[in-house]
Amino acid sequence: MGKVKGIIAVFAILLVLLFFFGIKNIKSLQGQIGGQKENISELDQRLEKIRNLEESLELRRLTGKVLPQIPRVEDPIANKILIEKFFKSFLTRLGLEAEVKVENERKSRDFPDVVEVNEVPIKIGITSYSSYKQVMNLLEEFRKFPLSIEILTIGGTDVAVPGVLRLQLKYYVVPGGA
Amino acid sequence: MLLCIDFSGEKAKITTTKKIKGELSLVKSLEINTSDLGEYLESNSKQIKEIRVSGPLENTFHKTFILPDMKSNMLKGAVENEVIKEFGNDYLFEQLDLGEMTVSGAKPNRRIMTAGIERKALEQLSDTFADSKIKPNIFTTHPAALQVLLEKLGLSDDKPQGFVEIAHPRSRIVVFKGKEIQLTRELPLAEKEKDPESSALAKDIYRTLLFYGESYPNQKVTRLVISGNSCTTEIVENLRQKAGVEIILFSPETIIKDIEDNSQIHPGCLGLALLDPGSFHFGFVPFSVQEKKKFTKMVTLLSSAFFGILLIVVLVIFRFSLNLKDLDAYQGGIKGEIKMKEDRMKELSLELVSHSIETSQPHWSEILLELAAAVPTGISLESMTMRKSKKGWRGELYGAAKGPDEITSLVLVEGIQDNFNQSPLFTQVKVTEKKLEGKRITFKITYQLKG
Repeated sequence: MGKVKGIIAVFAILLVLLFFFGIKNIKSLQGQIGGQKENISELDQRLEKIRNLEESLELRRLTGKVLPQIPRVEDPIANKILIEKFFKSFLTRLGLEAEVKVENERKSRDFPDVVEVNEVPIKIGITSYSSYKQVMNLLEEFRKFPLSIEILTIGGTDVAVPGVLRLQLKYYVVPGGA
Repeated sequence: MLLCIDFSGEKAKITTTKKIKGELSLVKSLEINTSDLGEYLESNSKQIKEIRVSGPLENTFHKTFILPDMKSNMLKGAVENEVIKEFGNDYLFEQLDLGEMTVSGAKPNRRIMTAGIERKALEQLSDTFADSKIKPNIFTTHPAALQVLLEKLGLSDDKPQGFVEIAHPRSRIVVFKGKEIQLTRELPLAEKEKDPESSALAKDIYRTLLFYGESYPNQKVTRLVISGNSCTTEIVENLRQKAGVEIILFSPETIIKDIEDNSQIHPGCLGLALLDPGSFHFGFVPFSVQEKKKFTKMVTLLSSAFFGILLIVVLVIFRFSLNLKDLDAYQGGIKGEIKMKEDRMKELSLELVSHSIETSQPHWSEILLELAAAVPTGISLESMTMRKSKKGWRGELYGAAKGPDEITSLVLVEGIQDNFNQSPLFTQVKVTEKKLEGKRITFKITYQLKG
């Protein structure tokens, strides 16, 4: 009887171990499968977005709806000066007196890493403008260039440049782009 | 090859047979000392496929009980009680229902034939085969094996008849009546020099028959079947004269082939060879073998259960692993496509910038006009700021309400707040600061651009 009890005990232990490790393994696999499904779902969504974006961008390329860039040279300091000059003349042409501060070009974090886009922070302080329409006109003109307004303030001091209307902008540059 | 062993005292009578086209054929018949059996088994182990054994007569019993008719379970219990009462608790026994026995005017009784063997003796017998690769599959008693033989020979009769095996140093006599084993006895056979006419054995047999007559008063042995390698014509003649019964010499040619000498045939062994294990009633299994079988059965059952569960677990794990592998492959495919699209995006950087600006920059003229429209007369704006954040465009508006009195100024502040709330361009409008300065009220409004 002792031998029988021993064998039953051994099998009981083996069964317990089998259940323990089996269920542990199965649960781990189920967890991995669950995680993988979530990943796939996220990737699916991302792929869908990318597909839509790609379609939209391809269409944009075909229709030529691409914003023009300020001509660039190889020297970064020269580029900075070029941008400053461009904005000053641009504002003058619109009949606005303004102060323009151009900072150094840096990698933009507004776009996915796979896309190589740089940004040039620009601060513009317009000391006087004749009408509200002139301001609206300025803002509409900005839309024709790869410019993103970050802060716009009238009478405020949020942008560190003197002026009644102060703007903080980002000028996007695609290195090697047309 | 079927090995049949009939133990008788110190001797083991051995017969090996094989079946050729369904008929039993004799291979070998011999008699050896029990002590030499191990050696014999070892040297013939390759040829032996099955072993059947009949034990010595001592330590066995054969008895028919007459019991009142009752349900089979109760009858079985009653027989068990009777056996224990008669022979004690040391016997392993089997029973066979021989049918009803009707006595006129009384309820019918049942005749139950029992055959038993002492547990210890059976264990000893079983131990003889401890070193053998093949273990006996049937242990029985010598008379039970003989009974099978008589049935096969067509000598089974409702009248009592005896079967005598004359052999050195012991002869055996068994009296049968139909399926009932009524008497068994071992008789010594004297050396031929001491008893040349074997009159002593004839006397013993005669006395046995007289004893049978006393035990079963209304019955008489009418026939004796004689066999054995020590059987002589003198013994047969002597018996014929003394017992006055019909004597038949054992002749097994009808049921077994290739017999050269009848005297060399061991009837007990032949009975063992002829019995059908499936329908045989008096087969015994030693307790140790029963335990071993039980143990083996339990181990088999437990290991089957274990391996069954193991198989299920492995299959489930395998299935999940395959699922995971499929998902990995699918994920790899999506990642690959994303990578491909992202590479393509590199070529469309300028388009992406254009797209981003177009979608992220609000229509400033609309906003400025809406702002101007939302400011009622009596309110002067001090500053207006709009800032791009991760959640969208947030705006702050500082101004002062200049009413003729404080109440009107408050109403003006509420008015501008209402105008902002009602605007389709602004949301989350809150007056976060309000300060009374004489009759005028300075305020701060925060809001967010919709979309």
